[in-house]
Amino acid sequence: MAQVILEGVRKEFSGNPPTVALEGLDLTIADGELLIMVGPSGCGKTTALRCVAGLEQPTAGRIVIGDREVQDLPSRKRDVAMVFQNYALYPHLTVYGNLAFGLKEHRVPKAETDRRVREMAGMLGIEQLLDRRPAQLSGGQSQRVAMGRALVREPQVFLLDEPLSNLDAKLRGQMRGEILELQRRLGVTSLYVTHDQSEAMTLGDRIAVLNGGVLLQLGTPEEVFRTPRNVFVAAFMGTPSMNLLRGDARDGLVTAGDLRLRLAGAPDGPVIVGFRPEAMLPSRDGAGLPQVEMVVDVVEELGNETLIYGDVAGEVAAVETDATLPAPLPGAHARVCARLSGFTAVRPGEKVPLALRLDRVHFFEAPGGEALADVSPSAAV
Amino acid sequence: MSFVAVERAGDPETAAKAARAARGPAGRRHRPSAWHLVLLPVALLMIFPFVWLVITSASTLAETRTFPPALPAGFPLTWLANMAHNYGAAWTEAPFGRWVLNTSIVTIVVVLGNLVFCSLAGYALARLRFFGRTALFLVILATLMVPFQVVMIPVLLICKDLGIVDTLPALILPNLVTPFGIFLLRQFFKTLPIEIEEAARIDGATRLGTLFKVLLPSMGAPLATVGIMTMLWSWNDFLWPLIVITSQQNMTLQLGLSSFVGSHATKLPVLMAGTVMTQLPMLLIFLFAQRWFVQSFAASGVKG
Repeated sequence: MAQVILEGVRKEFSGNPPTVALEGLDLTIADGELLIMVGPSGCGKTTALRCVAGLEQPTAGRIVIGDREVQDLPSRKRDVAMVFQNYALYPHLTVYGNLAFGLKEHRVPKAETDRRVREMAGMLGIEQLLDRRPAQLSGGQSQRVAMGRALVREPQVFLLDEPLSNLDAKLRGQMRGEILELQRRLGVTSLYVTHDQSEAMTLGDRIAVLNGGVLLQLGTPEEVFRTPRNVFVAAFMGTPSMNLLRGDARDGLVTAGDLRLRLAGAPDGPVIVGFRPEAMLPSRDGAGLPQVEMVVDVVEELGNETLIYGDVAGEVAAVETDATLPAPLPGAHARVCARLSGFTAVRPGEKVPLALRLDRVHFFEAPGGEALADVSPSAAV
Repeated sequence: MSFVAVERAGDPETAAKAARAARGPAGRRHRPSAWHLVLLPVALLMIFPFVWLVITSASTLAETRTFPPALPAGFPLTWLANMAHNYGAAWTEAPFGRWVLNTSIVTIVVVLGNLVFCSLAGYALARLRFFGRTALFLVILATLMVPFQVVMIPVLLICKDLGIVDTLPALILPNLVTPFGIFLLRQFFKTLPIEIEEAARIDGATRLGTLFKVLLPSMGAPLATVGIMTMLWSWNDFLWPLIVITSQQNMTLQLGLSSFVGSHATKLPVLMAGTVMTQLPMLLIFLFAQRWFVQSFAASGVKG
């Protein structure tokens, strides 16, 4: 086991103009830690992982695994193992052959190879599959074999590139738990890349949020969720994502649609006001809190909670967290989401008064997007 | 630990798929259709020359000269006696055994050479990044379009300079690697997921190790295609041996057979007996590897 240090790692892909995938990434993964790298497609997370694996050569910067600088070493000399998104099992080898391949390449004696392969197969519950070929495995089974192949070598660093994205939702949940348990048990330093922020929240010791090749925030899941350092992180983490309204600050008073909040120390000018769906309460539970009125158009009852979507006065601050989603339409009304517990009697078309929990409201610079630090809002009377 | 394999019993859909795959195309049974009315006569038409070949090899020289052509008399005993005579004559009147050996050596070496060198070249053109890769590939492709008749004289001159004219290496060296094989394997390398290769590299394999231990073993069909096409082409080649080989000792079967054709008289039954024996190995291989042959031709887009 070893710690991994990335220092000023930059990666440029040739072209006209060249594409910068990573812009001077600094990151330290502690010995035995599971660090999740999360971000939208094209944010550079997979490139960073591939640089650690030795599948890409960084244009500049240092990568240290344990006490060795590895950026100029070929993959096979780095003592890392990787699980690929499509598993990349060797199609002509049996499951046993797949697990044993790396050990054979490293000239581990036959008896030792056999012992380790069977032990790993036992740990993953795939002993009965050892004679099958990859084409005869289901998605979940292939996933286990891919993990086994990586871990049986007892590598210093375990790299996972969106390993669960090809599985259906139920299996994904189960495998998530298994990966976590296995990682904790083996205590192997792990770097896990995903675009799924819920995976990041549930799995990681720490989360690194990337966008445009830049590390935006590094912290525990709670830190990243509760105190996003900028509006991108705020919008990216959490489902449904944070509601963001355009606001204006004048003499310590922030106005965003119907919302009026007192914010000591806020500089005059445009700001973005952010609040997660769960920061909203039915009006009767939030006496003394700022109120907004929502015209409901969609109600999603999930059993333990209800999500209501609708319009409030104001304008949405658009943050592109996924280039494939359409940008919200500009207008006098802003569409927001509120998460209420249990079932509600709310129906589409109704006007619902909602209260906003002040300790859950975030403020960001506009247009910069950086969080305004050390501001504490209070209700404007 | 709680790693309970939920699919321990196996996914029924996967199992069904596997069973279907195991049955293969032969598992399908077609009922007679109108197509058979067309296909059957065509099949008979195609097989007729071969049947006539065998019949002629069971004739006497006189019987081959009758007009209109008729079946030789005395089926089956006289036929068998004629065959014994004709096939024996083919072996004794010419160094037939030597030609079989020559052709076998040339074919085996050329097939192996193509499998190794076309794999290496195809892999390099598909995966390695180097200056002029696309240009080089285009040049190789362009050579596919140049008929052999255009280059045979320059190749002959090169063989002469190398001092290998009228030796087996002259039949082997120019054919050790073919643009067709390079092209076909390059295309297949391109279709393999690059992650498999990357996984092997991370697992500790070198580039060559990855090629020989991971990529090539999973490329059975394209390698069989290259092997079978090269084998057929090499076994049946006549023009190049005709140009480069002069001594009877170094002839291949196809070239040797032509020596049965005399300028004044041709011993047709003996020639046909030799021809049957020449085609027999290919026929046997075809019978055993029919599935691969069909796949090969389908994969290469070459008309048989």
